[in-house]
Amino acid sequence: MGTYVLKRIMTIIPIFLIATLLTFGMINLSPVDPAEAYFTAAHIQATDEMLEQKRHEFGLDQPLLIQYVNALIKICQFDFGISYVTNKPVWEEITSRMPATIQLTIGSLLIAILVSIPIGFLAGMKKNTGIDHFSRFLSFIGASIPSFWLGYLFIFFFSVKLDLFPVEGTGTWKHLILPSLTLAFPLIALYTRLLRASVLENLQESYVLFARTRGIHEKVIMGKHVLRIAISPMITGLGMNLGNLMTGAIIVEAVFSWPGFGRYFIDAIFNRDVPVIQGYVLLAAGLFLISNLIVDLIQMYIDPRISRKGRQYQ
Amino acid sequence: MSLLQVKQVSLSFNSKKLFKGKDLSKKVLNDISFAIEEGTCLGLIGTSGAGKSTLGKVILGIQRPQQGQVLFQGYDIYNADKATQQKIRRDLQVVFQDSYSAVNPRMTAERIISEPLENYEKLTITEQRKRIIELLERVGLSEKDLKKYPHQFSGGQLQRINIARAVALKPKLIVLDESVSSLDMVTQSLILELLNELKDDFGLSYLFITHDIKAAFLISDTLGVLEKGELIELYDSKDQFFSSKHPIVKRLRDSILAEHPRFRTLTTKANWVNTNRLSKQL
Ligand SMILES: Nc1ncnc2c1ncn2[C@@H]1O[C@H](COP(=O)(O)OP(=O)(O)OP(=O)(O)O)[C@@H](O)[C@H]1O
Ligand SMILES: [Mg+2]
Repeated sequence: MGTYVLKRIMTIIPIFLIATLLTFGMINLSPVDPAEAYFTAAHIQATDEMLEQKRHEFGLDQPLLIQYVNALIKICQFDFGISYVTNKPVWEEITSRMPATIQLTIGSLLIAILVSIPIGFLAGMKKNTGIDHFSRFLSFIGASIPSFWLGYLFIFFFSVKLDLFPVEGTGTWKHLILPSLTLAFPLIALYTRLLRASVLENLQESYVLFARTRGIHEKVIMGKHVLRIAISPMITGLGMNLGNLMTGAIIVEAVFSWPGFGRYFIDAIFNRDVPVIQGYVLLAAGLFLISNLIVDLIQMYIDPRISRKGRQYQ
Repeated sequence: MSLLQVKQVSLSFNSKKLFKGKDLSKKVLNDISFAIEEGTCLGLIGTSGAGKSTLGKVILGIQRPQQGQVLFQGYDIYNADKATQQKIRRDLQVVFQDSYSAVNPRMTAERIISEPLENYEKLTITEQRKRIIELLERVGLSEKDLKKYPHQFSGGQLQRINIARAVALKPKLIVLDESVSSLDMVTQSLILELLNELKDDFGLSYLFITHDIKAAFLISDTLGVLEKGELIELYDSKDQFFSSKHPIVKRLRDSILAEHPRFRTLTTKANWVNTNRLSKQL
């Protein structure tokens, strides 16, 4: 088990290297000239000499491989360069905006879990009843409404019409509700479906069917045999979505003027602020990898067969 | 009073009507009656699809028949009040063919066996552990196996755990549905031997459902033959199986005659079957 954990952690390194290579490659392939972008962001009409000098400063006149290795060394030191727009280190900019985004992510995860576990579980247990139809409706809505529109709908109903929550900004927990809910909605749809399906599947397992004949109390059967196992695909889904959530927050942050790094990233795209874009993409890749790692470790704890399966392939 | 009485049970699965008026319902059990006395084993033989497992489910109280009654210790299991049903379930346990699907893959052996104990008996943790170790040792496993998960056992070992779980509450009747059928010959005879010992130790009764005549023979006191949902023969003594003139029974007899040499090696292990007598009759 210990070696499995270690090996699993080691797999992160090559994947992250590939991610850096892809990011670096794509930025180099894009028609954006960083030197030009730099001066545009600073509102300076640059001459050819100035551009030439800036390119030299950025190391753009060196061979690609050297550029890549240099970038890699810097990344390992959490140095993502300096933003063209604000002239501050990208890492600092990101970390200062991180708490707001994390707050939003955790808020929406909590909402998603708190809503989808009871609904999905009940829908699976009481198939084709009112609660099941409701869960289907909820998933349908959640899967088909884009989040920017949903966000504006929420603002319209809850803030403008009912005046329950503030329209935008941060500060109190009230500010957090609408953006979290917006971000959580597609997840609720997904998890409710996932949980319902796996509850139904587990109810068909022989050991569940025959636990009843052995007279085991329904509460124990549902808790120990059905829910505990049914929840595990949901945890996988959760891990795959954690990275998504952080990045998916971009749109929601824009709608609700949430001061997380998502909005900062949108600004960076419009300003062609290359170091920020690169930093953000790498950060997202890192988040994906880490959240998947955490989920794998949790899964291994829940399902002892997984670590054995892992070993079979080595 | 017999421990278990099955009275005129009929059951059909009504598949959905494809066309109006055309009833596609399928009769799986037809007017079945028999009884199992305390401390005995009834072997139920039948070819695949004869309705054996369905009958087992009817007796376990999970497949209500359209007609007839199942009486356990005199109580009609489908019309008993909740408390009685709970008591019946305690005294009526089951072991299936597929040992893996019968256990939760995420529970250790200890938790698997402790489940019925926790459910029915409030023991202290040390008492419970002691009971579990006793049970494990009784079925030929050891304390070392407590913390193992199902995938760490062989099929035969896991079947022993299923048996330990079934006998944990000292039930009256255990339904064994093809419980040894997926095991190799040697393991089969060892498990059958264990079942026989447990039967004497705990005063258990068995309903031993199988398509394997040899296995049924090694463990049963009385025998029934099920064919296409009908209980065509019922013998008070298993020896009658060999004198029956029923054409289907003859065919079944022929089927084991074909593998006769193997049959003989199997029985050497079990001294409680008179091999000589058997081969003479065959
Ligand atoms: N839930 C069900 N719905 C419809 N038909 C069923 C159902 N369960 C069993 N049957 C049918 O009932 C018949 C008897 O099935 P059963 O499982 O009792 O056979 P069996 O004697 O146990 O056979 P085997 O030795 O292969 O286990 C079969 O023809 C089967 O197709
Ligand atoms: Mg069967």
